[in-house]
Formats: sequence, structure tokens, C-alpha cells
Amino acid sequence: MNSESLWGDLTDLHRDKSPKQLLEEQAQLLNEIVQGLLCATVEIAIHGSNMSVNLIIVAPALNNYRYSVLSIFYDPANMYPVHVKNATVESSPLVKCSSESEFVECLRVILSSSVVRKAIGSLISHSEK
Amino acid sequence: MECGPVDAKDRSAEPTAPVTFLFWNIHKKMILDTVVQLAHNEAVDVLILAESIISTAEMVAALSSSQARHYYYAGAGVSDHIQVYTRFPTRLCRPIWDEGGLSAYGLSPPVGQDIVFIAAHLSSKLHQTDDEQALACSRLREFIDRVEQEQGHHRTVLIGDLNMDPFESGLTGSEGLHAIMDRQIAGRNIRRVKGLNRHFFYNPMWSLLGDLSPGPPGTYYYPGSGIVELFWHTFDQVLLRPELIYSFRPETLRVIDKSQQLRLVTAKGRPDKNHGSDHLPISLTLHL
Repeated sequence: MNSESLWGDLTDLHRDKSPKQLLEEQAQLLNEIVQGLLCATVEIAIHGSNMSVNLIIVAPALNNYRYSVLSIFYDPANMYPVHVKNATVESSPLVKCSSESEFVECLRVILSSSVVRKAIGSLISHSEK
Repeated sequence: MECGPVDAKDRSAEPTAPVTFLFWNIHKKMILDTVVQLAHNEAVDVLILAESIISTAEMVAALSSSQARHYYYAGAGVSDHIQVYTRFPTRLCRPIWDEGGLSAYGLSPPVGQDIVFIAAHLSSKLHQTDDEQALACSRLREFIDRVEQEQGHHRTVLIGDLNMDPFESGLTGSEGLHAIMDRQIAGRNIRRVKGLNRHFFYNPMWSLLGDLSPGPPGTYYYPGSGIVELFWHTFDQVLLRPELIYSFRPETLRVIDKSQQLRLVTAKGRPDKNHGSDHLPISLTLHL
């Protein structure tokens, strides 16, 4: 007798990407664009039931100089809300994002900001000299 | 040179990044492990040592050991009264000028604005009078003026063992370093004194004097027997040009008596000469 799946139809399950995965994707995208000149990476720390993930840009040609872009804080069990700290602007407040779409929009604002663009430009320029 | 208030332009649209400086007169002590531990604990980007007899090669190797970011000796080609080690590649932190107890370096951080830092170890009070010290500061001012003129900006940090307290005339006088305690006044940039323009320094060390300051009462303890004795002195100082006041984070300025497990003072809170130096280190972070 064939076993019957009692799980129902799982093929159309919507699997949300975790905030950490979204950051890793953005790090990977930057790495493809800058072609090894810089290395964007995420660093993870666990604090009790919460997780923090830092997005860092490392410049290997500059003695592994590190530029902090942002940090996020969330409970991996629930994923949202996620709190975002823009590390490129001093004293910037924590921004609460209640959903993936809010989080993506928040990332877009920070990553495409003129401050981050200038910082990346400066790191590339110094690395190429 | 322009007159009027310093340009307090909002740099929030510009990328900045922290750079941590640490200065320590180690009094010819072989305290390699202590220096290295301190530099690592404090995540120092620019380490400046005075009176160091530790070999630079040994220091670089020890500083770089087990670190993702190596340290380089930035002092090659200048006199050895000051040693400068940095985590920036040496092409970004290069000696500019060296003269009589002063070493000027240009620092171009990968993110942020270029600055000049001048590491100083001025002559001791044992070898000159207070008047001679004060008069010698006019030469120091001329040295800084020359460096700034050559570099084309006034984003200058002076850090070191000045062998004078912040209130002595060589520090405060317009013909000396013209270093004052108030950011607002220093922010005027220049003062016209008897027909001549004199650029200000801001001296934040004033805020660290005495036993009500957050750290030790000074950086150097000398229990003399004269009629006037201060006991504690703050010979080790950092001075900032007004152009860098907006890069300065006051909470980062410290006279260091302990750093994690490392203790640099005795049970009475005085510099532990047996395990460290007779001076305490100072550190600060600038967001350049």
C-alpha cells in the first residue's frame, strides 16, 4: 500500500527569505559588481533569542580595512519585525521594519544613499592606487 | 589665511569613519606585551610611542600577531624619538616632516577626509626653565604653520608628551600653541593679536584635569617637595584645530588607567612604573 502524504500540498508554500539572507544577497551583489576589489560580508552574533547581523565592506588591498554599513536585529523565530541601524550616519535611530517589503525598502534607502556610494567609490579608488 | 569663524559645514552627507589614536610615553621600558595588549584592546588605528627602545620590527610582529589587520611602522625615514605604528597602509600614513621632537604625518583614511597629525615629544622640564619651554613653543607654532601651508589645509591634530600642563603659557599663548579650553571660542578659528592672525587649537585635555574627571587626575605623577607642587600633571595631550572639532567625539578622549584586564596604575591610582610607564597613555577617536 502506497503511503499517503498527510502534509497537504506543500509545493506552493511561500518561503520568506530571512533578513540575514536578504543582506547576504546584497553583499553578494556588491561583490559581483566590484569584482574582488572589495568584499562585502555579513557578520552574525547571537544575543539570547535575538540575532544581530552586520553588513561590512572590507577592502583587502587596504589591509582589510572595514567599513560598517548597517546592522540589523531580530528574533530568528519570527523574523519580523527587524530593527535596522544605519551605521554610516552617526546617531541614526533604529528603524523598525514590520515586514519584508518594509525591510527591503529600508535597505534600498541606505544602500543607495549618496554616503554609501561615496564610501564605496573612495574604497575602490584607494584600493586601485 | 582667511579670518572669521571656522566653516562648520554639515558633513552628514559625506562618508566618515572612526580613526582611533593612542599615544604613550613608555619611558624606555621593555613593555612590549603591555603595549600590544593595549593596542588590541582599544582597537588602535594609529599608535604613537615616545621614549620607546623596543625594536620596531619586534613591535610590528607582535602587534600584527593574530590580527586580521596588520600594523605597519610608519616612521621609516624620520628620527627615532617617536615611533608611529598604523593599521593603514603606509602610503596612506606617511611622514611629512621631522624636526626637534616633532614628527608630522599625513593621514589619508580610506573613507573620510585627509588630516595631518603631529606626534610630539618636547624637552623635559629637567633641562630647561618654564620660560624657555614657553619660548620654544613659538618654534613649534612655526613648524605647524609650515606643515599646514605645505599641505594646504588646517585639519591638524597635535598629540604627544608636551612636558607642559594645559594651562602653561607655551600652550595657551598666541605666540605658542594658542590652545584653549572652549570649542566655541576655538571655533572662531583665528584671533588677531597685536596685528597678527593667530590660529587656535582646541585643547580638550582641560576637561580631564583633576580627580573629578572621569579618569585619573592627570597623565604623570611627580611627588616633589617644592613650595608649589601639583603632584599630578597632564603633560600628555591632544590638541585639535577647529576644523576637526566636528570630527571629535568627546566621550572617546581618555587617560587610560585600565583597559579590560590590563591595569596601568598602582593600588593608589598612580602610574605603575614597575609594570608600565611613569606616564599614562591617552587615546581618542576622530570620525574623519
